[in-house]
Amino acid sequence: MWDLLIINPMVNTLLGIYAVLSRVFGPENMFGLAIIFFTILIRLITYPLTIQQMKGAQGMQEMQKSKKWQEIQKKYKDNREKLAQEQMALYKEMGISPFSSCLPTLIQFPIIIGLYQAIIRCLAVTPVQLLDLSKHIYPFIDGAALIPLNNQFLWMNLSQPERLYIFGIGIPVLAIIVVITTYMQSKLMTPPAQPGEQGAQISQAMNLYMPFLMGWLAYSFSSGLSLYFVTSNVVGILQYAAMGKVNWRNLIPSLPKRTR
Amino acid sequence: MKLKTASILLFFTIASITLAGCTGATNAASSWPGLNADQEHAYVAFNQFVYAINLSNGLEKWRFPIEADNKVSFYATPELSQDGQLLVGDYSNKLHSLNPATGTENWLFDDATDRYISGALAFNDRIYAANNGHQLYALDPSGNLLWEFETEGPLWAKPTTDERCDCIYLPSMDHHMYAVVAETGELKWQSESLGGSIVGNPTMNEAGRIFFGTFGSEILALDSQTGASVWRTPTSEWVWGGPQLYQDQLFVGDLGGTFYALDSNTGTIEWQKQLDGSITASPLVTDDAIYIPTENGILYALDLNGNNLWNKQFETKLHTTPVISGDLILVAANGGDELLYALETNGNQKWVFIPEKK
Repeated sequence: MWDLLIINPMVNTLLGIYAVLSRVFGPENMFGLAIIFFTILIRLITYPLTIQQMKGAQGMQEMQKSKKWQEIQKKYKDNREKLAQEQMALYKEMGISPFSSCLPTLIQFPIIIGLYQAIIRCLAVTPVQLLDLSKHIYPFIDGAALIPLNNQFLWMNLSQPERLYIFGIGIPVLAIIVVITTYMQSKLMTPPAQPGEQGAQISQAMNLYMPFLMGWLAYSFSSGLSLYFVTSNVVGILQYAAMGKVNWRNLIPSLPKRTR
Repeated sequence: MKLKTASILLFFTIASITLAGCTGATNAASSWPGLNADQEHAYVAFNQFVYAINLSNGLEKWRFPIEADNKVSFYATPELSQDGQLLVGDYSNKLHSLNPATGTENWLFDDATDRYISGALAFNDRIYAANNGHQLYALDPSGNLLWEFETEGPLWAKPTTDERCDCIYLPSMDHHMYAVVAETGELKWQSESLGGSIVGNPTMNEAGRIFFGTFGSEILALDSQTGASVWRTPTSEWVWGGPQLYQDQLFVGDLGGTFYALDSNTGTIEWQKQLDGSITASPLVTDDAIYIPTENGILYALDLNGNNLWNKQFETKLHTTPVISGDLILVAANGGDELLYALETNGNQKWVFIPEKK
């Protein structure tokens, strides 16, 4: 089922994009570009979730500022259970889902796992992988003409973890970029929050751990996956920036406050 | 807060483990066994070891290396040279020359930049080792590099040659066949694009034709002098294993499980038979029978007219070309504890080799 619904469509979309790009520009560097295009496509498909996340975050912000919430906090400051109940009721009243702000991040995981498997399956560097790939190519894709895929992208072999060798020292450039862009994305997309607020605590923890997790994945696994991370982060930031929702003060606190 | 932080950490840990699981474990087999045999021993390259197995009783004689190394794995067919070397490439870019009697290493060639998928060709006091990194390496019998030749794609098939020509015929995954001067490594000819990768070992006849299958779902005959196509016969699916020539007939299977007998002069299909499971191996052809392993674990024995003699179902996948030694049919298994079966020609099992876990 996982193969049928997630992996096969991903594999064939990647191959399809690669086929078109190779036909136009030649195969060199094209699998890397196919991953970039594919990521943009995934971001566009998951755009409604992004909007939902934004609305959720905005709603949270409004709730934090509302008089009603502040009164509830005062009233039930010694009764955490009741406070939580009232908070949930207020969420409901204001049409806010408390989980909507982390949903896009969570939904990325099956996509990441699927994409990773799809990239590895497409690159098919061993006989078992190639035999497996041969069984998952849709009939309308001319797999025979495409295989073997050109797995070089700039200085990277997309089937291997990336290292840029400078004076004999392997530097994981892409993993570093993944850490930076993941951190930037998390910070830029997090709305300012009241200290001690539950959602803010979760967001802070996510902002801290996520870049390191992504960086570790990028360091350990094939660079094709890192390319996905970087593209996804950059596209995410651009999407938010285009909507005017990027919060630069989270990244650079010395920036002047935006006036409305 | 502590509980929440712990929950998030737990979530990330699970996510990391899940993703790590997608990469396949270090020791998971990424190919199938390579198999060869002489009169006394079978040689099987699989996962972390090359095994020598006594044909008389199915017991292990030696294994190489003695201790497993997680970074080293072997799947390429071990090849016996005329001067008594057992040549086997590994997945950590090294070609080993072993003493087939003892399993000790004679020499090691480690100049390659990528793994060895195919067996090496030993011919006229030279060793020709095709590598996944697009290179064909020519070595002297002591493992010294003489020359190298580069193609545009990975090399997964063993090159071939014939006595009349001091040439090496090199199939590549870049969709081309190459003829290279054996002495110098100079290109003699390069075929036109053949419509798909070639990963199965080619075979030749006395008239100087080279036969092979491609992922373009074709079986082809090329003229060995010019590289020109003599005939092309379409198949139902991709052709992985190389064809076997017996007299004027070619026998080959495709990934759709169709097995073909062709006239090698014209490429005309004389008969074909649908088998159960993808065929990645070359068939083993003797005077009396054709033995065909399939991915679904069935070894078929057909007569030369395609009539069924017997089938034998195994618990594991069968991807490797079977080998005959004396009156034993050797079948390498993939995906179970059993690694090698020895069968009599009527299909009765004589012994099975299960490597001892060390």
